[in-house]
Amino acid sequence: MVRITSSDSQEFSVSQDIACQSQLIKNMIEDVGDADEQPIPLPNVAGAILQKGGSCFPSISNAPKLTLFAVIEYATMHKDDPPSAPETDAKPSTSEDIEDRDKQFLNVDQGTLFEIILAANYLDMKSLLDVGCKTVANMIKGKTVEEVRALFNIVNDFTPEEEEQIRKENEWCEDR
Amino acid sequence: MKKRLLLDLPTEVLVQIFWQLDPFKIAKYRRVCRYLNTILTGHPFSNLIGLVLLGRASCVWKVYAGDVFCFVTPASIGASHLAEVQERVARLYEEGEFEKCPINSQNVVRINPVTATNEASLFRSIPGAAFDEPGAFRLAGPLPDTIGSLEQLNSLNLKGYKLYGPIPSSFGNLTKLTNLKLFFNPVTGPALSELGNLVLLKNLDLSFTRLQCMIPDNFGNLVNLEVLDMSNACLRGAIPVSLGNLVNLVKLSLDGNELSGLVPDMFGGMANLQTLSLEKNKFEGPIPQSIGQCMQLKTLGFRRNGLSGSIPELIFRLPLLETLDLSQNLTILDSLPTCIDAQAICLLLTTLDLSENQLTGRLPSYITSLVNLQELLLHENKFEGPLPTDIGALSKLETLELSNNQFSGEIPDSISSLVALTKLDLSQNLFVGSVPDSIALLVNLEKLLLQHNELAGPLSMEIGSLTSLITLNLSHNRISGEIPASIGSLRRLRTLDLSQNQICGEIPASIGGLQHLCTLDLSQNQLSGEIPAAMMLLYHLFTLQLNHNCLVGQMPLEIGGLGRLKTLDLSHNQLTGPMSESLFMLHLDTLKLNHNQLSGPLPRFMRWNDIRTLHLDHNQFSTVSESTESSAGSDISDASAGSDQV
Repeated sequence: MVRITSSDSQEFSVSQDIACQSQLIKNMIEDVGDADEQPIPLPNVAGAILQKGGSCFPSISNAPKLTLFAVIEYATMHKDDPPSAPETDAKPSTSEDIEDRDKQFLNVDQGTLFEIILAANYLDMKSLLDVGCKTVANMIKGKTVEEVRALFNIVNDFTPEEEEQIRKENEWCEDR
Repeated sequence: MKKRLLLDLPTEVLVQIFWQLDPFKIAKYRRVCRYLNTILTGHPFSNLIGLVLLGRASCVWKVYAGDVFCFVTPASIGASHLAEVQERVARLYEEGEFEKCPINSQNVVRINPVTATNEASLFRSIPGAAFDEPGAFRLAGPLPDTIGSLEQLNSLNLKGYKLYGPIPSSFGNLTKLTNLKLFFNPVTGPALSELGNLVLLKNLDLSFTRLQCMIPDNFGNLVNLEVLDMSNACLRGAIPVSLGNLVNLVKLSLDGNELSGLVPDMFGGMANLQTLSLEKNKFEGPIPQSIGQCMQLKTLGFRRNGLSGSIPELIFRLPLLETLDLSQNLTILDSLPTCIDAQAICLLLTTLDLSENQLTGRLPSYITSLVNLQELLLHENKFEGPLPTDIGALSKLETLELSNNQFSGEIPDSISSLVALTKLDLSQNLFVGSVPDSIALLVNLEKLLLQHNELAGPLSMEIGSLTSLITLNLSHNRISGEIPASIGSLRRLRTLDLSQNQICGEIPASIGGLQHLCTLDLSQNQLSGEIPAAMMLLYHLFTLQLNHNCLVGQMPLEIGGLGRLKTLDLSHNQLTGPMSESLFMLHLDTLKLNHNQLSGPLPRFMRWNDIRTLHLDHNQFSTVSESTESSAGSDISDASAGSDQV
């Protein structure tokens, strides 16, 4: 078992094969040696609990911050996956191929989704990061610029002239 | 806690998100906000490469037909840019047809930068026709810098014909290339020095481009090169000495540039060199001696430069040499090397062109040992002395041009052995004696040019057997006797010039058989008798000059039938009678009838709008008729004054 603590000092005990889906934790264990003694601190990841799945964990009302727990949940779900193939860019993966269980898992509000992605990025969990990015990509796909701004609450910070310039440059690739 | 937003994600995560989407459809999201614009125009999106369909060409020349694509990167090439390329390509295709396609992301093919190893795999994703089908598609527009990301490429043959703009410096990243061909694209420099990194290159073809730069020094690094073709590429400056490192070269072609300076004496190591072509440049100085060490050399071309000095003897000893062209240098002088043993000479030589130089002296005897010669071109030099009597040994000779020298003596009889000859030009020399009768054996001759010599004696009847002749020029000699009637057998003849000789007798009627004759000049002889009526059958005649002879009788009535005639000169004869009315059916530039005994009224000049020179003086025309007066106008000279009008 590996003991890890979140930024809000919650401590989790997880089995090593689950914890080591995070390349970061795996490296730490390798550096520290025996991980049984000391809990591994993860100061960038809050332990706060997701209000998803069951409600067996108390929520922290004003902190939809992530959730080591959710990450652990994901890692537990995938612990029997075969090790990912060696990195290759030969064929770019498409945003289509998301497993149903992952879709289900990431069926959360935007804020939470971004927290999970941030954590996956921090913890260096490639498969979770990948599936998170694909989920966001699917949200963008097919939308107009205006729809994207609205969806993600983005403020247009171009001057009208600048925007017009880009619009001109991009005429050929805008949908018609 | 504030809710996380999309833009809170780190750049690398945002990149990963957008990387999931079609790279040629996400460029529109540049407009969302400044941050996304930065991300979507940066790495790795700036490294992508694709092709967008500009239009379809259907050209009279099949090689130009097919779909025309332009290279694109997803986020940096604007619509106005593409439209401009489209416009330009449309202009380039003016001759044929070019049907523009709407420019949009639907017409984009993405090129996979990682796995492509040659042009075939690079363009495998092109829809429609298979790549290897010739003319399936064409490339146009500028080359993108992103091409440097195709690092696996080992062969790149951009058969575009319409690519233009600078060669991107990123080409220097394509270090696995062994084969790079950009020929026939108007691409420009100056990124050539980056190409000096591509040390695996075996074949570099930049011919027919517009590089407009110098050959970089570091091309000397390309030691694996076997073919370096940069002909007609607008190169300037000198050849860097470092090219002497390219010891594997088989072909070096730098024709048709503006290269200047000395040709470096750098060929000593190029043991495999077969073709060295430096024609049409501005090189100066001597021919490098080290060329004589390239024992595999087959073709050596220095035509049209400013080389000087003498021809190194070693060149004549290259055992495999087939073509030696040192013509049009003007300052190559001296006599040909003399002391070469006939055994050691380049016996395989088929073309020897030393014309338009200042070579002097006699022809060395080994010339006749070059028994494989098909072309011997020595015209416009200062050679002298007689032709070798055994010149007939060059039995494969097709072209012999020795004009504009000071060759003297008689034309050797053995010349009749050169039965393959199609062109024999001995004009403007000092040859004496008669035209050898045996010349009639050269039945393949198309051009026989012996003008401006001192040849004498009559023409043989046998000349009629030269039935392939197209041009026969014996003018400015001292030929006497009559024109053989057999001349009418030369049915392919277009030009017959026997002017300025001492030919007498009547013009044979058989001359009417020369149906293709365009130019007939028999002037300044001693021809007598009447103008044969049969001559009026030469419907293709453009120029007819019979002036300065002793012709009598009337002008043939049918002269108006020579519908193409522009120049008619019958002056200085003893023609009588009236001007043929039919003359006025012609559209003449020049009419000279002066110094005859023509009489009668001057007919109307009305139709002669084109005439520029009209000489009618020294005849016995009666006073100008009324009709002439009324129509002569300002462009017709006074009939008796005979002035020129231009």
